[in-house]
Amino acid sequence: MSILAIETATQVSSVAVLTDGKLAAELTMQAKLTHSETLMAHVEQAMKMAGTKREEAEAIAVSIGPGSFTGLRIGLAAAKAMSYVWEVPLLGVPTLEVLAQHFWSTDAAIFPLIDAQKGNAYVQPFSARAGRLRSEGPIAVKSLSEILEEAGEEQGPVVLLGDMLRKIEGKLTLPANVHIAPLHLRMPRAANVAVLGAARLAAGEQDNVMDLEPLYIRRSEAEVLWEKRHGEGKA
Amino acid sequence: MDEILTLGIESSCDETSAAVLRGGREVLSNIISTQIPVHQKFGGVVPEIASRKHIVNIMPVIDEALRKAGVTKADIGQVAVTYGPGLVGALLVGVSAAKALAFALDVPLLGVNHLEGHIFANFLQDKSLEPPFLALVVSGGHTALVDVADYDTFRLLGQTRDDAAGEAFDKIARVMGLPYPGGPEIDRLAKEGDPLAIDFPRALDKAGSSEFSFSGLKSAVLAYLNSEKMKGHEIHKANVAASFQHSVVEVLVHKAFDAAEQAERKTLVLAGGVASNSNLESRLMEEARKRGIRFQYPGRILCTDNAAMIACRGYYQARAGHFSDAYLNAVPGLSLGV
Amino acid sequence: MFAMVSHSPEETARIAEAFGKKIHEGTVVGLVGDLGAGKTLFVQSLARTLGVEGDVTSPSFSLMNIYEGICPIVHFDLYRLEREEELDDIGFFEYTDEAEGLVLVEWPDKFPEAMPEEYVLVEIAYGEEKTERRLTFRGIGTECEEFVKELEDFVHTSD
Repeated sequence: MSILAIETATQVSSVAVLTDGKLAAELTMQAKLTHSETLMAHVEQAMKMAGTKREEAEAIAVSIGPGSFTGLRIGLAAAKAMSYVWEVPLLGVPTLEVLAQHFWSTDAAIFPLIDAQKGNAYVQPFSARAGRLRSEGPIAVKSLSEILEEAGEEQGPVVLLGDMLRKIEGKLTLPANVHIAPLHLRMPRAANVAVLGAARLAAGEQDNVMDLEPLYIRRSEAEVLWEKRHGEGKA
Repeated sequence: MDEILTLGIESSCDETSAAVLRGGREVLSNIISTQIPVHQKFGGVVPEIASRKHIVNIMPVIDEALRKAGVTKADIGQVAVTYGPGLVGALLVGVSAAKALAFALDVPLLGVNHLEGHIFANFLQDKSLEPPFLALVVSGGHTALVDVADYDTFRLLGQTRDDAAGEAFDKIARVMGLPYPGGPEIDRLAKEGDPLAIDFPRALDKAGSSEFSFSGLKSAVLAYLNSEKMKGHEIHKANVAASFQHSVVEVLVHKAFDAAEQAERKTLVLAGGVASNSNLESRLMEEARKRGIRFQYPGRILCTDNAAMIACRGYYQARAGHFSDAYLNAVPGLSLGV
Repeated sequence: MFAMVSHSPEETARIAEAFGKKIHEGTVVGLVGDLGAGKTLFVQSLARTLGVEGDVTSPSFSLMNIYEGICPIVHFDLYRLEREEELDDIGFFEYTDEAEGLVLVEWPDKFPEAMPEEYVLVEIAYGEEKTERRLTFRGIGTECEEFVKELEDFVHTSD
């Protein structure tokens, strides 16, 4: 039985098939052709590569944002349709968490950054000491300068990753403790979506195929979301 | 082939719609999102912005379409979806869902032109209607005359060079301070006005030309409104609405029937959202009687954007073998004809 | 910035052609003008100059059109939009932020904050006579200011 994973929140288009504890196939690309043209062709190809038949899909995991509204809707519409037809669980996974997976065990603070345009980025701080990845704050929309300032104030090293890096690398001077993730650990990929999806599935969770929406985070919404997830008394 | 069930999906503009069609003409269900109180069903706030609505509505309308038709997913033989023209963000939701549905069901996919869908709405309105006929397409973004020789043979005779009739209605309505959408507002207001009160020009009214151009008329109305304002005259909105509508409708009516006669077609068919304009309908009926040409127009529901008409066009497209592949993309500026 | 007077739609078309010959890829162009001033006409001539063969009509209904010329041309019309969220919805920022090809925006004055730091502003205003128009070209941001100066020289030498 396989979990099909889809990642279309950024310019990267990625599809993965996780079968019996193995990452059986993954197709990841970042090119000019838009998600809407290539996604389903990639899904078909990845499933073929993994040798997974339609009836063997046991869940659909999809990256739900924040990110490009267009990209997110394309991925989610496709994920919903497949989940509906095959009658298998739909598992939405937050994109910043997908990114953070790249650094699942490190002493550095992890700042995944997704371009929110106008010089802003969606950001959520993570920590990953002793192989336990956890979020250390709400998803927020902040200006690049604000983010770099905060990163500079952290005690230890900070790793930056995500599509916002193309506005940083070679363009801005970073505080000494702030590091840029290498290319192969910088962008979201469906393998990470699959792993997060599998965890949710194992915990007996699933989303409602009828009304799951992408995460459109606006400045004001960020606080509300944090409150909901982490209870009272948290800022 | 005749009994094949086509699932139609339409999300080019404001409405999300799904429908199940049996064969080419039997509508088993035609669900439009405003019919199902999604916000009530799921307890959230219905987003106002089109693309946001579509991603929320898409599965409920599809589910409802199957349920109402009394069929299962496995019964669906093919999936037809609007891939243009329209709002790109909205189209992408439908196209993406349709591609995934077709893949998941392992059935063929048909990308359908929304404007052709409007023409085909008439086949559902009147099950006995068959080509050939001439079609006048008047939607929000398009005004065109199409000669429909057969189910899969169209010839674009002419279209608008600039603004579509629907756009002209909306813009004039906006300038006059009427709420959106402007077309129905002008239609309503015009009933109280005198269509001959103001003599607006009828642009490109050359006999024998199937081309349209409404930007000149739009400018004339704007110029009129501005000059009246500058003179301190109060604007008689009903008269402006009636006279403007009169100019648009007369051009549409004359060109449509001239084209029908030239192409030797015995039937004129009306298609598109603006088709519901009461003045246009009644003038076309009147002129049809005069010229001895049969006039066919879609009913209220089928005039608006709906998936049944998409399924219908898809059915005939499939019969002609024009299927789409997994690379089908939304084309917001898609136009009619070849 | 500089201005030119056009006495006919044909003249406006020629000005748009000259503009098209000089414009660089990766430029965002804002088009401001009242209804009927000739924004769409300008875009049509510009698109033809850049090799677009298909239909180029007003996207006031579809909000955004994309054409294939010697580079991709994205044509927005913000006339029908009411709220800034709707811009996100149509991917406006994704296209104007580091534009590939050419991005044309009709009615940018509806959301002045949303325009990028660098863009060329073309204003088309009614003139004295009915067919007369006044076209003003302005560069917003240093690179676009440079471009508009280049354009002014080019247009005046090719008169």
